[in-house]
Amino acid sequence: MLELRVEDGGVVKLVGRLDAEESDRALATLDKLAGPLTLDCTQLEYISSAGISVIMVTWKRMTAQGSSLRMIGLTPRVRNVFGYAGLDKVLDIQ
Amino acid sequence: MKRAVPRRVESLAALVGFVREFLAAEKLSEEYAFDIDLVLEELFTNLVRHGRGDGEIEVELTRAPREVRIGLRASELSPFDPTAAPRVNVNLPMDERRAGGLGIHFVREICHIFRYEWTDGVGTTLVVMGVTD
Repeated sequence: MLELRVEDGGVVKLVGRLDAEESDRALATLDKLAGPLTLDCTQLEYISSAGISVIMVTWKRMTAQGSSLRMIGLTPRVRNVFGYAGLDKVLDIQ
Repeated sequence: MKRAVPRRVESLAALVGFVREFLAAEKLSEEYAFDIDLVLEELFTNLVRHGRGDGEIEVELTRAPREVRIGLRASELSPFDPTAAPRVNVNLPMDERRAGGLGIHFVREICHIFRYEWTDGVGTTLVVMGVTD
């Protein structure tokens, strides 16, 4: 179960699990938003490769538009998954 | 412990519950839930999306000394071997990378054993990850 809370200033709070069951809905929500975007992952409990794909697609869309995607508040376990994917050093993760 | 679930992505929630039951029964820390969930999701969704078969998928979680074994068993018309998936280059710059293909890479990162066999129309995947007792 994943909740996406769209807040002021291009902040999107991800709450719950970003897995294969939730990834299409997550991408559909993010696709409607203009950049720059900040994904607040403080309450993101879990992410799989399906969720990583959502982040990559959104990053590519932002970059193609001359905008940016930033991620904040990742838990150590969620950050690990970005590390496995080699994305912890190329994405803007704070 | 074994659990058979329908061959669809919507079964993931049931698998998350199954993993919690297993951890409680084996008195294993919840800290292992994330990696077991991740490995199981990647193998399960790979089979659902790309495998050629029907019927339920049986998942088995087994505790062994300093290990957790995860098995998936499903009917398959022909062998669908996840261990043969090409390696992903995770060192490419972002503009040269495509979304997708990372799931089996995660399995390889977390598990020290990753095997597949196909016999008489049934495919079995076994992975093993380390835990501390």
